[in-house]
Amino acid sequence: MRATEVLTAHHDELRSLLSELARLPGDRAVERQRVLDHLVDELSLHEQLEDEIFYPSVTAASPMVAVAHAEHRYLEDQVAVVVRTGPRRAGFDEEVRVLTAAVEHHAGHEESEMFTEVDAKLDADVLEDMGARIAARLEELRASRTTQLRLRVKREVLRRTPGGARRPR
Amino acid sequence: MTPPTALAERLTTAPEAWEALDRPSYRAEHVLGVALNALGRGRGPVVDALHGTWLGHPLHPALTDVPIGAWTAALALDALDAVGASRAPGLAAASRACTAVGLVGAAAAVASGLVDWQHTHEGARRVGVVHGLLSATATGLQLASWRARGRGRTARGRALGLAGWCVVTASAALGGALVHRHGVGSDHADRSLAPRTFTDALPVADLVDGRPARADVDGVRVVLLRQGDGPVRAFGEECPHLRGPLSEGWVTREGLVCPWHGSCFSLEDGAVVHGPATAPLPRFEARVRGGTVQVRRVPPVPGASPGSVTAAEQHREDEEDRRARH
Repeated sequence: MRATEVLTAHHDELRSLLSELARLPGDRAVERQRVLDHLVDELSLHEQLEDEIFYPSVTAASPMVAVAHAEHRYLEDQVAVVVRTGPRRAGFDEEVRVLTAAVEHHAGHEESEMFTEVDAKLDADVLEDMGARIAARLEELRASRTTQLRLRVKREVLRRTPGGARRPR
Repeated sequence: MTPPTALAERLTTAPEAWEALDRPSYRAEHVLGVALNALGRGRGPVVDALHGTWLGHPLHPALTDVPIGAWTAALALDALDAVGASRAPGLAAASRACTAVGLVGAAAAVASGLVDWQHTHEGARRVGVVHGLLSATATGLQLASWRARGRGRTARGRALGLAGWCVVTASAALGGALVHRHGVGSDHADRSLAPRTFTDALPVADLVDGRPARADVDGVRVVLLRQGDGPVRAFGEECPHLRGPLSEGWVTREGLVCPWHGSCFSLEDGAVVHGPATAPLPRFEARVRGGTVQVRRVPPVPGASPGSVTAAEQHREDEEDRRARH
């Protein structure tokens, strides 16, 4: 698969986690927390893959890289708000809705503009090779104990910040 | 020989091309993002205060005057003392006090500079990295100067102060380039007066509840928005911060959010709710006639020309409209 296809497939995973989160009713806080944890982890990994491999490889092919970095930053900030709010508070649905809009904007923007441009300008071999590297790195990160610990620490730190919610049990 | 202006230009623009700075700069930004998010619900107020949303323009350039001014004063006092031009007592102590005032100002300037820098792009971002490193170096030299002066090592303190002053001056030149060449912190919104009278924007049927839409009216990009049965609202479509496309943004309880850096603007009057933007959105009046949304500019200063001319024109337009409708 080309790098752009691998990333689009991962966008779809993020989209389905977000819609699962929106579908779960408010009284199923434990399940919502579980989906949220998964979403936060996958979003972090997605940003890491793009920051580490994809963006540096396409800076010459697309002028949108700086904006994409800026959008990652907004996503990180909004994830912090969602995690801090927690699934049992009244504002949770609203904050998830905002996060969904931001993810949809970022992913949609990449797919419709940046990826199209990159697909047109880079050689198919290069894109296939980059796709394999991204897919392998994603599996490696998902399986890594260190990464799991890092992501868990990140979630816990965000949740325990001033104004943070308690974890539902 | 190269004329000196061209040389200054070459020096201040050179870092724009240093792509090697990108990776460490994004790493640093991630760390900064985590640190700011660790403030929890305190993040928004702290960051907005440092951007200067309360001031209506960026806080950083105002704060930098404190260290530059205070360290320049210290330099002048050192010079007076060294040449024995003044017999006033306590020049050394005064010079050390100026150094300290500059250090306090520098701490605030560094904090505000970092939060502004994290939302810059490409060339400006690279120049910003060099500007930040030079400023940090200057602050370090001045801190060493302050400590040396405190231990009675006056000559060493003066030399460190002079070195710090030279570095901060170089840094200020880059800061100037960031504002004047790259427009960092400048208001990027279209502040023309067009369209001066009501002009067709788009069919009202094109507006989806709560979703911003873009229209090009007389060459001006306008974002239009309607929530439920409420009025149609219209603002400048380009974010005043760095021209992010607001029609691709989203609406929260607080207002319209820019999709690039998360600046948030009130739907009532376009005022800044959250930075990094510090200037409000340009405002437009909107009305619906025959199924079409029409907009016209709200002149920001209606009391003097050209705003007053526009206001008078709009008054005539309203009178004609009233007569036509009766």
